[in-house]
Amino acid sequence: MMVCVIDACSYIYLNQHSFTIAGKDYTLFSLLKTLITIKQSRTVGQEMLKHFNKVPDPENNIELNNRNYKFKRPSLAEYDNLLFDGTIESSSKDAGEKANLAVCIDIFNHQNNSQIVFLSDDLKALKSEDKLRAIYDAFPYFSLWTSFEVILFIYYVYNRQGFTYDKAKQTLQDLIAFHSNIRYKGLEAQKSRGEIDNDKFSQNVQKLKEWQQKHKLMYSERLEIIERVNS
Amino acid sequence: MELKDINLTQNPFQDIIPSSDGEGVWAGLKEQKKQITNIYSNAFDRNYRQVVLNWGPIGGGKTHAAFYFYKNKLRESGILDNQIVSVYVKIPKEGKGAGIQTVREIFDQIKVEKIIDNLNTLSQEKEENYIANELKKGITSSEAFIDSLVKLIAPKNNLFGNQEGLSQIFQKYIYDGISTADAKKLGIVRSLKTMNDYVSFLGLALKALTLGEQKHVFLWIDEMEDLLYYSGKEFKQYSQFIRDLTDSVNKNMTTFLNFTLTEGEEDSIKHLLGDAMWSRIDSKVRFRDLSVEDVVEYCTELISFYQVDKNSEFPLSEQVIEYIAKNIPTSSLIPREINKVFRDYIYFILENDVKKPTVNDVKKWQFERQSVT
Repeated sequence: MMVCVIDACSYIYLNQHSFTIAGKDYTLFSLLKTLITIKQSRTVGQEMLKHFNKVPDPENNIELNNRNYKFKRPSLAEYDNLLFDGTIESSSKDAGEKANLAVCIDIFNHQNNSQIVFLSDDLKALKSEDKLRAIYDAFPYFSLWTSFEVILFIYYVYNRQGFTYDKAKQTLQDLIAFHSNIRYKGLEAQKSRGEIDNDKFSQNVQKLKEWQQKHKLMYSERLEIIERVNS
Repeated sequence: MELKDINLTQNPFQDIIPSSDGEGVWAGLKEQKKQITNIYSNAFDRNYRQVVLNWGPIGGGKTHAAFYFYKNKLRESGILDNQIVSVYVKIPKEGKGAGIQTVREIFDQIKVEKIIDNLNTLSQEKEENYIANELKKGITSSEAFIDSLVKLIAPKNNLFGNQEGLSQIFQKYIYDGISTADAKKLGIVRSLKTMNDYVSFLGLALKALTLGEQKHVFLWIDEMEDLLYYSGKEFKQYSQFIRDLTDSVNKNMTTFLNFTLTEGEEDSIKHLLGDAMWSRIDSKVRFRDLSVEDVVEYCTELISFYQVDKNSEFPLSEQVIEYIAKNIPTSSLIPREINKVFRDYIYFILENDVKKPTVNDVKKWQFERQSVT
């Protein structure tokens, strides 16, 4: 069974928009959890609770807590000391991603499961040159997904059950819009606070447009490739 | 030193970002101007609806083209001023209700009085049901609703007393909706509710504006790439709105869609805009990065509009322009970036009392610029 270890950001993104299949409402998250096992570190579980107001229709706490992963040995605290210099405990930045990486390693060790997905939309954390990336690279057993890969996955495995090509394209646009609007509003706020001038604002809006178009094209092409197999 | 001391009435490169209040000057970009002028001319010759995609990099001249053609008349092409109905809108940043907002913006720019004048003239020339029958063609909605809209747009009797009254009713109908009592009095079935209702009403109004006359509506919709801020559902609705609008006004209207493509080729736009809109596009105008020769032509023409003595090559000789252009990175050879560089250079020569700038002065300016940055 495939296991997906999700971070708080992705949880929020995947729960933003809903769609209907056979008369039943789904979000990308609620559909994903019917297809694979979803786990998260307790650290991420706590982050999700803090951000529940950003999710239009949040699940109940029990459901959320049941996904919190229970470590065997080593414990999370031991992983923290061995790999992250105690920075999870001290709630450093990226503490959630680090704890989730420890979850992935532990699942691999104890459940003999090689189908593990590390799902994170906080790509800055993994792109950076810091320790998190080095540790991720040291355990090359996990696929790295963003919310966009979730659409590709669901479209491939659930196409015949009603997650059609049109729905996949619609959810792709939903995700692009959600990301874009957060970033655009952030830029507007920076401009109104005087942190960036008009030129910088325009440059950043231009970069955002580049990001939008690149992602739409890249994932549309991937959906087309899957469509060839699905059809 | 003042601008007149360097043979200029104003800094030709002042408008970095196109403005509807600008001078309405066209420089360089000959191919694009020719293509769009032809589209205008053909619109009158062939009289069918057209959807044109203008695409290219940011700052490449698409918005400038919209403002230029919005403002400038095409007398040279034999088109009379009153034959052109120009409308310019940007797509709303918020996807929710975007179609209705665009309809309202278009209505704001249409002169209701012109619709009334046109229909009054026609009602004297044509048989009784001509106007109603022509208006209804291609509009899809319930017959009773369409009939009532026709009554509102082309009333047989002047229900509203005067043009101002009708104009107010239009505004009310589009923005606030009208009360049941008012609707009954005017013979209207109901208020505008769905997107299709708004499109039907706008379609009828645009037809009424051009019916029976050699008139054509040119609708410019700018920043189409901002559709990517819309959720999947909103994206689909807006695409459908443009499709329905162009289908319902199937004569006497040309729609220009301005789309900034950050990278890639024409085929990418199909994925970005979606099949619904892509399939409606009849022709495309590409705005591309300029060559150094293009920049020289663009700058020379732009400067000439603002020269005091048009026989002089000053303030900037071709040699100086070429030298500056060659030092602009290839990826920035677009009007907006070119304007920034030359605007700053004009300020430099003013501040440093350089009456007849040479390449050496440019080098000095470049050195100072690098020192600052």
